[in-house]
Parts: sequence; structure tokens; C-alpha cells
Amino acid sequence: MILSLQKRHRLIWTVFAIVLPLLFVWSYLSIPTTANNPTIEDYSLLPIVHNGIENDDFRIIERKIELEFDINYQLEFIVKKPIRQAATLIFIGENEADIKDKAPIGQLFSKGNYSFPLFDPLQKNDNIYLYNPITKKVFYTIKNNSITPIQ
Amino acid sequence: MSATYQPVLWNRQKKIYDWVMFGLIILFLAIFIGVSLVLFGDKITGETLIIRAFGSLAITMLHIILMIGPLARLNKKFLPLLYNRRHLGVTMFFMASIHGVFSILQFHSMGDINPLVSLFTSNVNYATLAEFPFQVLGFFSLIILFLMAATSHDFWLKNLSPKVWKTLHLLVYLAYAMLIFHVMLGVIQLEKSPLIVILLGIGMLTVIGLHLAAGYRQKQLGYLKEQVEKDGFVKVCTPDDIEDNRAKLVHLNGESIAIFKYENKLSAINNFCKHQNGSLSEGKFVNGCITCPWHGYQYLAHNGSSPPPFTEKVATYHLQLIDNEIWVNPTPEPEGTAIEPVLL
Ligand code: HEM
Ligand code: FES
Repeated sequence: MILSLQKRHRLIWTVFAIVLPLLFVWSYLSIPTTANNPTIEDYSLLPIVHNGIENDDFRIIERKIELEFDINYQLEFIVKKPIRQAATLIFIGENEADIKDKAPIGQLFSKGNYSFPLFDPLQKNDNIYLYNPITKKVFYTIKNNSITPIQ
Repeated sequence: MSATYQPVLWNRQKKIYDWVMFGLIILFLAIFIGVSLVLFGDKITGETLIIRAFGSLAITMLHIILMIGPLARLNKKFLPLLYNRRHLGVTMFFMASIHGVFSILQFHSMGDINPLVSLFTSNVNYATLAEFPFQVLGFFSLIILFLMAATSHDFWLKNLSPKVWKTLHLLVYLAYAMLIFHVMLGVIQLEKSPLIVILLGIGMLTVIGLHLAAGYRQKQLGYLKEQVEKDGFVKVCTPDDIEDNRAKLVHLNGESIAIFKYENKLSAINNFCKHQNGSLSEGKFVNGCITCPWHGYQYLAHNGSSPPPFTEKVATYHLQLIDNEIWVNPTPEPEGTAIEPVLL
């Protein structure tokens, strides 16, 4: 290697030796313990817990807010364990065939808190389905009869 | 060597190198896929397995490629790995592209927007570290690796000039830095095993450590402790300080000079190979010619010229032997000038 190139190599690697480990540690430390959720900033706005379910994998709460002219519903998801799927969509419906022509209510990524607006409250016969659009399979079903008032 | 664009001799070795490389690649993929199937066989799709196996293979190969250079400078035993390193690089690019193409197919081609648009817009958290769109880092690295693989042939080296070409190839370091964070942030965001973070950290520290060690060692190499000068000649060392068929490097007045000892003779030529500025002083005599350790270009010791039909020439220098001490005149003769070797 000619001398100027040697010098350039030394410079690059000296800078790398300082910057890369710092960034490496910084990114490790910035792993969020809960995912931040852009839909809702202030949970106290939606105080009324309508009903919900909790198991080892999820805590799911349906919240209700009564405004002057209408009532809004929101489904809050707390994902406790990593979902080992490449992609996850949430559907609500009476059975698996039923969800084929519905829009998903939202998408889950990693562990953390999520909340999604619901246009209608959960109905008596509704199940919650977690669907992988890549494998095109429902991989997790939360039965409606397990969703009970939890307050 | 410029008579054709096929610079590298020693073809048998080159073939062995390639076969060993392909063997190890198959072994890596088989072990990776086997272990993944045993551990997560029921949860993993074929595409995901391909994405992970080829991504991991490519980053492992890149680490090996980046370690070869400094290892060869620290210890001559590693020089054979340097030879033909470019095949390793081009193969690594192909392995990385399989990973990249499958990732784009799996993650970005299901919707109705252009997969490349999706790659850049599905995650726009550019201002955060933990949620940074790591796939974009992978994409730009792949572009750099493509440019390097595409210009790796000597045809481009000639046309771009070694200087531009070397500078282009320095971009591999940028690609490396981006890839560290492609993998790191990907692992963080997809909550995969911390084992990957640990392995990546060890790999990164090893690559940095080796480059620093080699860089600072080379800084000291070839500088004389004191410069004794007489009639334009500078005292270097005794003939016993040089191994047979090898060289000693000295830097004098901005010249880098390789003094070779062979067949009881001494000759001095410029240290830098005409191909890619490989360090000829780290090479040795093969079939009576000084042979560059990087890719095997050859030069005759007494005139610094490649044997016919090749046309490369480097500068030569005058030597003297006085009281068993070698003295060199650091003023170069024009490239290819024959100088009578000093007899021992
Ligand atoms: C267009 C370019 C690229 C795209 C879109 C891309 C995309 C991805 C994605 C989506 C993942 C996560 C996969 C998963 O675990 O499910 C990933 C992981 C990874 N990528 Fe890339 N990548 C690209 C280029 C590269 C390149 C050039 C390299 C290395 C040379 C690389 C090395 C890796 C590694 C080592 C992992 C972690 C492997 C693992 O999941 O076990 N990627 N990439
Ligand atoms: S043969 Fe490539 S640098 Fe000498």
C-alpha cells in the first residue's frame, strides 16, 4: 500500500474505533421496553374499561369514551412476548372465513403497547384473530367468550 | 501482466481457493438452516429462513474479507488468503443480494406500491435510533457492494486508474459501518436473540482491532533509526538481516525501496507493484522472479521489469556493500533500468 493510502486507512479505522462501539452501545441501550404508540398519547382520555382479557401473551382491553354527542371505542393491545411472525394484522370477526372481506383494525410489531380505534364495540360473537398476511394464516385466536369485564 | 487482463498466475492455487470457499459456504448454509429448523421449524417460513441464512452468511464473509488484509500485514502466514480475496468479495455480494432480494419480495412486494418505494417509506422514523429504518442501510450497502463487485475486474482497474479504483474500494468501510447497524437495529426491532448482538460486537471489535494493530505496526516498518549518509548512499542493514529470497523495506526521501537478497546477490527496486500498489517487499522469489504477494504480478530483480510478454516496470536503485553493510542510493533510476546486482 502506498503511504498516503496507509494513512487514510489508519485515519478511517481510528475514527471507526471510537464511533462504531459508541453507536453500537447506544443503539443497544435505546431498545424500547415498550413500543411508543402514535395513536393515543394520553390514556386518561379513555378512562372507561369496557372489557378485556389477559393471558401470558397479551393483555387486551377494550376502552370506551363517552363524548357529548357520541361514544368512541378503542382496543388496546399490550404485547407481552415477542410475536415470532414476519407480519401481524389484527382482525375482528365471527369466524375465520368472515375476516376475509374485512379490513384489519391494525398491525402489531414488537413487544409493547398499541391502541386502535374501533368503529363498533366488540360484539358478543366476535373473536380477535391475529393473521400473518405472508403465510396467509391465522396464527392466534382470542375467543370472544374469554373476553370478559376485568375491572 | 497487461498483455492480457488475466493478471493472476498460480492457477491451481486459485482453483483450490475457490473450491474451499464454496465448500465452506455450503457448510455454513447447511448448519444454519439445520439449526434453525430444529429450533424454530414450526414457526419459520422458507423465505424467512433464506433471508436469515444468506444475510448471516454475507455478513460473516464480509468480516472474514476485512480481516484478511490486516492479518496478512501482521503475519506473512496469512498472505495466501489475500491472494484471490476478490473472488471472496464478489461471492459475498451475490450471497448478500439473495438476502436483499428475498427481503424486498417478502416485506415490500405484497402491497400495491412499488417495492422500492415501500422500502423507503414503510418506516420513516429516520430521526430515532431504535426505530431507524434499518433496511435502508442494507439497501445502500448492497449498492456499494454491487459497485465494487462490478468493478472488481482488472479491466476497470486499468480504466479507472489504481488511485480512483482504490478510493472506490475504500467505500467498503462505509458499507461495513452501515451493515453493522443494519443488523444491529434489525435485531433490536425484530426482537431476535441477543446472541446475534454479541457475535456482531465481537466481530466488529476484532475487525477494528486488527486494522489498528496492522496500521500502527506498518507505520513503524521501514524507517531507519538513524540515517547515516555518505556520497549519496544511506546505510541500511547487513545482508544477514535479510532472509534468502525475501526483501527488506526502507523509506528514504519519500521513496519506498525493497532490497532483495537472492542467489547470493542483492538488488533494490521500488516497493509498489504496478497492479494495485501491493507491497513487493512482502513478496518473495517464485520461479526466479520477485512475486507480488497480493495477486502474483512478477518482476525481475535486476531491472524491475516484468518478464516478457508483460510490460510493467518499476524504478530501480543502486546498492553498495561496504564492510558487510548494505548502502542504498535513494535516487531512483527510471523505471525498468537494469542495474548490476551486488554480489555477496
Ligand atoms: C436491499 C438490501 C437489504 C434489505 C432490504 C435487507 C432486509 C433485511 C431484513 C428485513 C432483515 C430482517 C430479517 C428477519 O430476521 O426476518 C435483515 C436482517 C439481516 N440482514 Fe439485511 N437487508 C439488505 C441488505 C443486507 C446486506 C447487504 C447484508 C450483509 C452483507 C445484510 C445482512 C443482514 C443480516 C446479517 C441480518 C440478520 C440476520 C438474521 O435475521 O438472522 N443485509 N435484512
Ligand atoms: S499483483 Fe496486484 S498489487 Fe501486485
